[in-house]
Amino acid sequence: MTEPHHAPNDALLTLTNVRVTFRTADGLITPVDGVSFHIARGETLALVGESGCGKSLTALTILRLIDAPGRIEAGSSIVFDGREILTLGDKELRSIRGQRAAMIFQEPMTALNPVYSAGAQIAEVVRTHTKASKAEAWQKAVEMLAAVGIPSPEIRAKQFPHQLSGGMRQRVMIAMALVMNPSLLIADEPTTALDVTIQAQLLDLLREAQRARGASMLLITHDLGVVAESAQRVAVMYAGQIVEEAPVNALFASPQHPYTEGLLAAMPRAGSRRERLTTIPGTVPPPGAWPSGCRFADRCAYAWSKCTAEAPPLHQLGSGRSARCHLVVEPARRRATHTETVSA
Amino acid sequence: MTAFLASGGDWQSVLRRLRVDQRSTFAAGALISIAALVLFGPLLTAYKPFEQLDIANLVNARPSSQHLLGTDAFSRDVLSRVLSGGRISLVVALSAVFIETAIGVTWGMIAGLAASRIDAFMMRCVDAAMSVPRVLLLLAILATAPQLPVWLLVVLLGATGWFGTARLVRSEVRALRNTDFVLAARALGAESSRLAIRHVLPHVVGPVLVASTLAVGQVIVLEAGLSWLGIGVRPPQPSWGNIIRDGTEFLATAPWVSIAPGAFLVIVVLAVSALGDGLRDALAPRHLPR
Repeated sequence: MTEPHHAPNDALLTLTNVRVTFRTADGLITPVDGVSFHIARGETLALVGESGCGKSLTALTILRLIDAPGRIEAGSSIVFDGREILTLGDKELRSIRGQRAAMIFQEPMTALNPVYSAGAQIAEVVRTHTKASKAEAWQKAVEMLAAVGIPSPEIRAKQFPHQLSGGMRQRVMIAMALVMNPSLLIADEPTTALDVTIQAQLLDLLREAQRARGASMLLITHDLGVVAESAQRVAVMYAGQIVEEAPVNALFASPQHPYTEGLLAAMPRAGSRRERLTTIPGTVPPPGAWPSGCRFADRCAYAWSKCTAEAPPLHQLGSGRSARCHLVVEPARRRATHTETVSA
Repeated sequence: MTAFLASGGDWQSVLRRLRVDQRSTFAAGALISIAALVLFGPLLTAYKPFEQLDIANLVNARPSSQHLLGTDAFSRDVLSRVLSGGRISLVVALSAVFIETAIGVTWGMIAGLAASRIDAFMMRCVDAAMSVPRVLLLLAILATAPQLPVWLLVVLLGATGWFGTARLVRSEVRALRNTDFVLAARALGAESSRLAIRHVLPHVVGPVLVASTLAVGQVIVLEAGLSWLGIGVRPPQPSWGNIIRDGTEFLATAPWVSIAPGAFLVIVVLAVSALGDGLRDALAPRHLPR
């Protein structure tokens, strides 16, 4: 079902055919179903899609943070910096987590431990990975707080999460992720829980930190505005699969998958004369209720009989682009208007 | 999650809330006074707790300036016995609760963090143990032991009292396992032992503290009951339970022998449970009914 993924040899992270299954009361579900992508050194890849399409689970899989009843299926491969993550021993895995690859979570309210001060939580990461003394780790924590733009870091370091604002808490999370200088940052909707003005500041901060350290980033988001500003390439995920992958400019200029088209149309644009934003009808079907043909068919304006009958493969389109859609081989149908398809 | 956790495990505000709570301050005051009395009292009394002062003329004597709480049927000074017995009763209760808390927390932590099959097995063991009434279990063991050192009584009390704590800790840990901050700590490389001790354990302290405080009251009553039956702390070693028993025969003629230790017992148990309730409210102020 999945075609070989052509990752360059120097990729920092390469996922190939990653499948995650969960045993539930209703049977086996596969919320991540054959995901492949790569991230080059220093590059930012945005992973985009609606809630429930498997983005966050994919992120957790990279650091093998999937717990029972979840399972990463045989045949999946995650190569990070030349090493296969899925066969690593516990100790090696822990030395990668937080040190070589670090994760930033969506909810700074809940992702920080409420019983420790901000400084203690950053120092904890340092002490997990190095033999630094308490004082050295604390010093490092204070430096990191300063580096992520927190004023009077000595005072803030001693404060508990409930004494900090949402934006500041997320800065602490970012400091925790950056303190060991990881070569990969996995940011799972890092700004979704924050005010718009704070969002922009934090994205700037992340971009700056990444550039200064030459790190790669997997940026998970449903906000295409964020993608345009921060990423070089985009992978669009729908119902557990990558449905389109493209360099960011190409994706915005000519989306190939109707789902991507829908996401772009649903994006507010400055200076737009449209009064109402377009929406994609319906929601992502839950895993286990995925249609056998194209998983997007029932929400797609172009869908025809082939779409419900046959699952489209991920067509390679050259220059780093691919799309999982039958329209690629029958482009004439794209010109068919929405109304025609509906009345047909 | 309790509000205590949301406020950063802020012990200073917990103490502050305890201090403004009249019931808690009163209870704490009573407990501290009684603890001081039984700790230093035996050094100050003129008589020894075992001393039979005057078996001919001083049997079941009324309280007087010589004997503030009177004497018992063996002409022993009741005040000396109550203070010295209080030492035993309180030390037995506190040590037993320490043991049951240690076992319960360890068992609950392991079950809560273990794979679901091990967890299920460990908790079924707890269920099975809980299905036997504690008093019955203790009676069965103690009745067959003619000589029983006090430390063994402590161990037995501790070993039969940890099931509830284990269950409480296990359910807290299960909930904590799925929190974002535990996931975040794992994502940043923390190993299991570090996760358990640094990230999970601190969140269990609050509820365990409340449960253990309340358990002190239970164990005091339990030990008193067993000693009253003559199978707990054994004579001539005084404890509140067996002093009450000494006086039971003469309740009509010399009620002070039983009433004195009984009053201490009631005050301590009430104070401990008031303090436990106060502590619970101080740890989770939003759960206050008012």
